[in-house]
Amino acid sequence: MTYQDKIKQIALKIENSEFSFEESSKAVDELNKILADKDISIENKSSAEDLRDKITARGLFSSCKSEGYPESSCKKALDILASIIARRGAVSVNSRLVNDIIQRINNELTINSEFSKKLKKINEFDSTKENEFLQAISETEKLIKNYEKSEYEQLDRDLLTYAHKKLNEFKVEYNKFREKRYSAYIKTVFLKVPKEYDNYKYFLGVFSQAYYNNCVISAVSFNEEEIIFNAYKQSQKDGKSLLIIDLSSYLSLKEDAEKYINEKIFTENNNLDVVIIGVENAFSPVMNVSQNELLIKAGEFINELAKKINGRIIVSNKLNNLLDSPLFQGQVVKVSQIIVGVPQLSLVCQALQNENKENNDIDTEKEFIQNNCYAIGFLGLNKTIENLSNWKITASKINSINKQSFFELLNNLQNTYSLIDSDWKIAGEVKVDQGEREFDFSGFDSEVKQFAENTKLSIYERIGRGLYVIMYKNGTESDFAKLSDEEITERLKTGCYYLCRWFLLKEPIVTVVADLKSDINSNVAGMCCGGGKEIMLNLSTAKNSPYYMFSTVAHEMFHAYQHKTHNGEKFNKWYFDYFGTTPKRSEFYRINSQNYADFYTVDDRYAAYRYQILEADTNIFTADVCDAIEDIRRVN
Amino acid sequence: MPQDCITYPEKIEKIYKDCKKSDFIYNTVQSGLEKLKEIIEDKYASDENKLYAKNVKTSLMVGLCYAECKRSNFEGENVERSTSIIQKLIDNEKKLEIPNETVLKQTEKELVALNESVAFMNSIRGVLLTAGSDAMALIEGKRQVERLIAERLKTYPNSDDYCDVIAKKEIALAEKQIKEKFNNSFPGLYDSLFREIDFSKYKYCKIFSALLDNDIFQNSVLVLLSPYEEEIIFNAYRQADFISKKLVVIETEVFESASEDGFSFCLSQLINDLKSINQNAIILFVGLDKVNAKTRKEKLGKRIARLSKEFLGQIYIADTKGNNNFVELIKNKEGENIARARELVLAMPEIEDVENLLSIQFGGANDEERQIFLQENRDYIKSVMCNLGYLGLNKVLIASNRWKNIAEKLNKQELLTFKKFAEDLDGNGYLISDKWLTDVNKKRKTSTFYDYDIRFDFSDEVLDNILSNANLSIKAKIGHAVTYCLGCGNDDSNYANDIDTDERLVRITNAASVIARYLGLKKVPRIEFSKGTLGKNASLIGLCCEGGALIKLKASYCEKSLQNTKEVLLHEMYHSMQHIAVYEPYMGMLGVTKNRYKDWQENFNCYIDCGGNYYNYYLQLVEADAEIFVADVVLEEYSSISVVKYN
Repeated sequence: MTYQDKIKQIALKIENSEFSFEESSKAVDELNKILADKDISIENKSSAEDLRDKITARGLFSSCKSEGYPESSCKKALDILASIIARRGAVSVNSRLVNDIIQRINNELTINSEFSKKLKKINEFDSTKENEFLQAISETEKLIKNYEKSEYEQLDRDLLTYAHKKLNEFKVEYNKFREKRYSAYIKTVFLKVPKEYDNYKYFLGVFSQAYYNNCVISAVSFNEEEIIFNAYKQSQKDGKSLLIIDLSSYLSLKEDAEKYINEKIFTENNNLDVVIIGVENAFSPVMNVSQNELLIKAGEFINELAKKINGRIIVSNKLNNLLDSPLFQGQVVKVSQIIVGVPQLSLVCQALQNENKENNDIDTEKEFIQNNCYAIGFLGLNKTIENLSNWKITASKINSINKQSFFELLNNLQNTYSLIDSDWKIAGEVKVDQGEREFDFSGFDSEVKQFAENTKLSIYERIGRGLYVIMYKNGTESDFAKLSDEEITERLKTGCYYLCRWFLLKEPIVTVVADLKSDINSNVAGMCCGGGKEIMLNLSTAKNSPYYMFSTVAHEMFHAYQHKTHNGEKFNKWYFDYFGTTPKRSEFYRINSQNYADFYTVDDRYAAYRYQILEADTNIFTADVCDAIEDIRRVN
Repeated sequence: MPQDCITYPEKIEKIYKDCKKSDFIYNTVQSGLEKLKEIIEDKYASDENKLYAKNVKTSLMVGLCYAECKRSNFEGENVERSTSIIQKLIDNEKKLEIPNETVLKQTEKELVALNESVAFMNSIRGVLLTAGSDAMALIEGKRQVERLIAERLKTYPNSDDYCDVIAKKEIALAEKQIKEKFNNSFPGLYDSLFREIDFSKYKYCKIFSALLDNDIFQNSVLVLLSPYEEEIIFNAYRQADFISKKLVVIETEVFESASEDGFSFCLSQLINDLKSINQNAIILFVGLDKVNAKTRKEKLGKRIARLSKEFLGQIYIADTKGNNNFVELIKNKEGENIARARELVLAMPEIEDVENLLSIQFGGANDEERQIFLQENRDYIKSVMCNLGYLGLNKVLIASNRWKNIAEKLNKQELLTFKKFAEDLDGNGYLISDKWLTDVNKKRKTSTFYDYDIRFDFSDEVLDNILSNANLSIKAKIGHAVTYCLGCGNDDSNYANDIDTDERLVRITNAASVIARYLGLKKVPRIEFSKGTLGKNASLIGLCCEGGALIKLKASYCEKSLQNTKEVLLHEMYHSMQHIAVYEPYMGMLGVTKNRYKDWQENFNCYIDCGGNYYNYYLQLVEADAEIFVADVVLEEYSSISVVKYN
């Protein structure tokens, strides 16, 4: 093979390659071998040198490219390329190529230096100003985005990494900056729970999950701390953390701070309950924005919380407060009011008896307790027990502090049993609305009315038969199971609304869910949430056991009625006349809903769930209704 | 070759190890000895190796002897021969020119251990041998053996297994002898006490709440009424099983034939045995209902009453006649110390439960099929299954496709017995629900009614006026009447300060009579004052015991005020009604529906004690209902105070 052929072969081979370092150096080696021959012809020598320079130039370029044009390698390449030109003069066929490459490498170097300059300039922002911080972040982001586009793909990779690093730094610094800047706001908006709460044993189960799922709880107490304490203990029991927000501080936030605080709240983990306090201060007349706007804003905020946070939202409220206004309520979908009761007399006695081993007979102290402990609340009870040696002094001190607001609330209530159990001397007489009730079944089919309005039938028959007709029309129970989901939902809703007429309830939101679950139980037929504000029913139960769904509707609606009887309204005579509910029973419903035993299928806790008065009475009512329609079921 | 590379010391060591591993069984030791012989006889073997081999030979022989001793001992042979062989070996070793000290020491140690084992065995055997055929001595002997074993285990925690095996064997032998002994002395009694009852294939049962109330009914006799004896045994067995106790069924004849001492002796033996497995017993006497002779019956009743005071567990008596009145029999025969007794009718299963169970068992996989099954069979079930009881129901449930045959057979077989029982049964026993297709309820004596117009013997004009006042609701009447009965027209301070305990008790009993009538109670519960604390809990102020037949009140609490007494009495009286409602026919007092009765019963079945979570206790149905009743009465009394004139 002649040298000429050999050179041609190398040229062909390298031309088809990517000028990688390995291929290039191999080709250069071979060419050097040829050039080492002293007897080589000048033509061959020159074509071999040409090819060698070409390969070197292209190799240098591609290596710069693959390395991401770092400044150091670019400069080195430029030196070598310059030496090639100097050695061979501008006459070589390759000089154009080499010049071209030099120009391109120089170009990249310019881009890099421009980028560095821009970055450097961004870095000079004023780190004491929030808007400059934000600008720096957005500009860096923009810079990176621009240079990452394909036309600038030749950018120095180290430089790009550096830019990304810088961006993160800016963000961290910005957060620190904001934290520092808004720390004062955080302190006023988010309140902390005193450490000693952890040691306290007695608390009210008023916020138990089973009853206040999905609803904003408007909690009424004579003492805001009482709400915080009980909510804190309940959250602790449920393994959740509690966020306490001062509404007055929140509403007075400026836009930037509000934004920051909102981020803080909504990016917290899901395992969160919220208590909102300071409602009274929030709407004090001193504020210069109109109250209506504030109310709407508060409503929007609380509704946002309810939507985004999985846990309970408890708003500390006073009776007849602004929060009860339609403006606020219009913003929040489901609000349910509860009155936070004080500990029962027997609980206070028993707690003191249990804790105080020396004092064997608390009976002798009953008089003192009656007169001095009625307004201590659960927090006060724990504090009293904490100072056992001085319990009388502690209790009466707390009592006298709370007294005024306690009576303020008590006097505003329709009936005292909503707040305090009748064992306390302080508990007032039951006020009964003696009015006869009227039945209104307008809007229902005549067939339903015919049962509901038939006074010859027992109350259970009237309720049961009407509901049976609504649910199954003229079909059988198995026909019902075959209906479309929409039709089943519609009938269940109508069934619930029908029972509302019986119990004189506001129509609740009825939700029919494909597969209803609770925290503990994977299959729940129905749930009464928010003290009767929402009824949730399980569609699969309706399909699998249509008759069970009949009793579930009656069951959940009776729960709603139970809540109605104790929640601040005047006691109605018809509660007893039609459903045998006496004031004491209402009081028990209140105490039970504030100390509800959750559903567990196993162990002795099942008994606590099943036979607590709320559940037992409801089951008895349901069974009575079912018994009353036994004969029409048989006929069908 | 590797084998040739093994040196003599290694080989000797291996032989010893192999023998030890096999626990010195004869064959291994024999082959080991032969291999050692080769070494000893090898003229090229060094003197050290030969001496080593000889020492190991002695060790092997000692091991063999020791092992053989243990084995022969285990098989009950004389061990003296073995000990003498070991002794000889030791002597031989000592005779050697250079005795191996280690081997000698080991051998002597083993000899001591062997001698101790032999002594131990002999002591055990000695104990049981001296006991001979005397039952008491045997029991004592058995305990002694157990003690000996425990002591030996303390001294030699790792003692060899053979001794334990032998000891256990001896104990078993003693037990067998004891059992035989008892059977000879009290024929049938021992077997009766230890009779295994197995109802495990019958799964479905109901737990009767009254049977569960362990705390309150300890030391009392409970008469179980059902037309069928087996049904009673089954329910008692299930109940015992539920609370992890052993049910002991005793035939009256066996009980009668045993002397009183012999019986309590057997019983103490039984309790002792049960204690070891942490169990207690429930005794059920069967066959007492078949005794006709009055004096014989009374004598037995007296014995059972006495027994109920000694025995810490529960005692049941089966009554398949329904008219034996065992309660009076037990109660009246003990003079001043009245034994407690009450009765419980084991009601037939509820129709809903039967339908449900049958449809699940035979109706098919899904609800729809089950509904169809029920539609087809409802009337059949209603008439045929009515008198089968829980046991019969179980028998039907496991009968697969022959279930109808079984049901019909049982129905026919038992129908007369059932009807007779139902007719004889005291009118108040709740035996069967009206929903069944049977005419027994119609033929039964009518249930007691509550006659508001009856004049109490302590009545006066004021009380009459209260009770007949048409303007008062029933609860208001109760409230005013109770206040009047307690105060007799005087104020609270008179009640608290001016009257003595006896007078207070009379007044409370009068008040209880009024409440009882309005709650529909056939009998007024006995009222007792308790001086100290009631039960376990210091804060307890009243207790409703014996299924509603007895009310205990904390004296110190009741002395304080009329109001206190009124409230606690009303509360406990309501409990009494709830208890009785559980096994009496439905009366519908004060608007209480049947479903509430049912839930009361279920709540009693899993009653939550006041010792645990306060609210779980306080808010449970039976407690809440009682508390609400009190409050309602007080409220209605106060709101109608103007209607009543006390003077």
